[in-house]
Amino acid sequence: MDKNPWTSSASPLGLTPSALISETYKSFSLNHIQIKEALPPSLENETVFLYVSHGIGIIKVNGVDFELKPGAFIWLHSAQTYTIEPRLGRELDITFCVYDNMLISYLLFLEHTPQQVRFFIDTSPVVYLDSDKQQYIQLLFTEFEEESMHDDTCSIMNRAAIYGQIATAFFQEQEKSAAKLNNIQHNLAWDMITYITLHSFQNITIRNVADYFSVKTAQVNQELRMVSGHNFNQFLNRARINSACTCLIFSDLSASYIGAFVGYQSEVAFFRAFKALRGMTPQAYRKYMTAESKYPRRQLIQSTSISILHYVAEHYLEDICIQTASKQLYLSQSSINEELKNSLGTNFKSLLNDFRIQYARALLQTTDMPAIDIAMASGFHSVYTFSRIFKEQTGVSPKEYRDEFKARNHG
Amino acid sequence: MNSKQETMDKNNNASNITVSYNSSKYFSPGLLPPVIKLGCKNLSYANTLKRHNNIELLYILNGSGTIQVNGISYPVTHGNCVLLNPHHFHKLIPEKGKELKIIECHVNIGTFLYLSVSPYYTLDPIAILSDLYIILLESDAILRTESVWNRLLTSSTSTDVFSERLCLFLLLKIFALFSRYPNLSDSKSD
Repeated sequence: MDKNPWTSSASPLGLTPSALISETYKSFSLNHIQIKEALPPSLENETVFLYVSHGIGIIKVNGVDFELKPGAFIWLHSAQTYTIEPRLGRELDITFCVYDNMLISYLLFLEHTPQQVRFFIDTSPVVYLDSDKQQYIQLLFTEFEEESMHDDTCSIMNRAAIYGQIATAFFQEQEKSAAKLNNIQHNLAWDMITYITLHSFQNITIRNVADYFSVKTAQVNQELRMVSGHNFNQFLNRARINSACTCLIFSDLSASYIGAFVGYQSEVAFFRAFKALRGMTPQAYRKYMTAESKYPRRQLIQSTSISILHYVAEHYLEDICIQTASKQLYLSQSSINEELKNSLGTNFKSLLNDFRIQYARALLQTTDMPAIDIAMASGFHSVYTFSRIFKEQTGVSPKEYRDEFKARNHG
Repeated sequence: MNSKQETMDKNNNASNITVSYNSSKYFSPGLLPPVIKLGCKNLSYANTLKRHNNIELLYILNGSGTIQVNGISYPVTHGNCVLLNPHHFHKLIPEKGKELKIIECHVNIGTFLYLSVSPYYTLDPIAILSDLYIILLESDAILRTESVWNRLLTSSTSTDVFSERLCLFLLLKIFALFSRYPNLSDSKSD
C-alpha cells in the first residue's frame, strides 16, 4: 500500500493514511497534536474534524486560505487537499477525530438531498465557534476522553453518539456562518473539485469538466495538479474508490454491482483502480474491515433482514403472513427466509409466532379474556392454532399458564 | 449488464448525486425518519393500564412508587430507567400522598432498529424487543443522564433538521445505559 504513489503523501498529522485506516478511527479515538512548522500538503482518504484550541495560523484548503485561531472548527473531506501553517512562534494545538466515509454516511446523510450535499461540500470548511459553542465542544471532548477509559458496548455506543454530536454541531454552525458571510471566494480548482466529487457517480470525462468550465482539457489537469498534485483521472478514481469502500460494508451488495454503482463502466477497471488505491481486492478489503482488523466492525449491515424484522415488529397483530410480507418488501418468500436464517438465525414463521405469543402471554397475565379472544387479539386465526403454538413454546396450555402465573404472583 | 447500466444512469441523472453512500435509500423508508416524542409528567395518582405501538423509555426524576408490567410489580425510585416494549401492559403507581415526576419518551421501532444496526457495536434487536429492562443508575451517572434527558427535552421541541439528528444521538446515549447496568426485571424467567 505504501508504494502506491497516490496515497503515499505523508499525512501532516504524523500518520500515513493507511495507518489512519487501520488504527485511529476504528477505536473511535480523539487525538491531539501540536504543529510548530508548516506541513506539506496532504489528502486524506477519510473525513477529518479538526478543532484548534490554541495558536494562530493559516490552513489552505484546495488553494483557498482560511484563518486559524482558537475556536476554529474544520471539516475536511476526502476531496480536499490541505496545508496547515502556524504563524511564527504561535504553534497550533489541534484536536482531531477521524470519521470514515461509512460512519459519516451512517450518521449524517440520513435523509440528504443533492442540494444538501452540494451545500456541505461547497461552503466554507472552516467555522469559528463563539465561546458558548467552544465550551460545548470542549465538554464533548472531555466526555469522550472519559468514555475512552472503558471498553464495553456502552462506551462504544456513547462514543459513537459523541462523534455524532460533534459533527452535528459543526453542520449547524456551518449553516449559520454560510447565511452570514454569503459565500467564500472560490478559485477555479475548488469548483472543479466540487463538480468532480458530485458527479463521480456518473460517466464523466475530462471533456465534460472542461466544457462545463469553458476551459481546455489541459488546463483542468493543470489546475487540479496545482492544488492537489493529482490529475483528473487520479482524482476521479479516488472519489469513486472512497465511495466504493463505504458501499462495501453492506454485505448484500456484490463487488461488481458496487463498481457499476460508483461509476465504473467495466468491472476490470474497478478492480484495477481499487487494488491500486487500497492494495487489495474489494472482497479482501471487506473481509479486512469486518473481521481481520484490530477493532472489527459488526459483521456487516444486513439491512434486508432488519427491514423484515421491522415489518414483523410493526404489524404482527394484524393479519400478516409471508405472502403479504413479500409483497410489501418486494422480496421473494424464499429470500425472506434465507435472509432471516443467515443473519438472525430464525425464519419468518417462528419470528412472527414469537412476537404473537409474547403478546398473548402479556394478555394472559394482565386480563381475564378467554383464550379465543386472546387468540384473535394477538393475530391468530383460530384458537386451536393458538393453543398448539403456545404449548410448543411454553410447554403448557394457555389456561394452565394463566393459573400458574396467578398462583405465583397473587396466591 | 447493459440494462443495469442504463437504469443506473437514469437514477444518477435524476437525483443520485452523492458524496458518500446514501444509507437512506438503502434502508427501508419505513425505518426513518425518526419519530421521537417525549415529555415531563407529574403523577399524583396511578395512571391507567396501557400499551403503545412504540418503544417507551421511562426515567424517574423524583419520588418513588411501583410500576406494574404484565401483572408483576416492580419498585421504582429516583434514578430508575425503564425500557418498555409494545407488548408490555404497564401502569405507574406513585407512593401514597407523594408525587412521582417522570420523563416519558416514545420511540418508533424503526428508529430503534436503525440505531441497532450500526457497524460499531453489536445489539441483538430481537432480544431487546422481547424483554423488559429496568436499570438503576449509580449516583455519579444520574447527573450526567439527567443532563442528557434535559438536552433531549429541549432539542425535541425545536424544529430544525439538526436538532432532529441531535435527538437521535442523545437517544443512543440513553440506550447505551441499558447495556452497562444490570437488568433488575425478571421477565426472562417467566
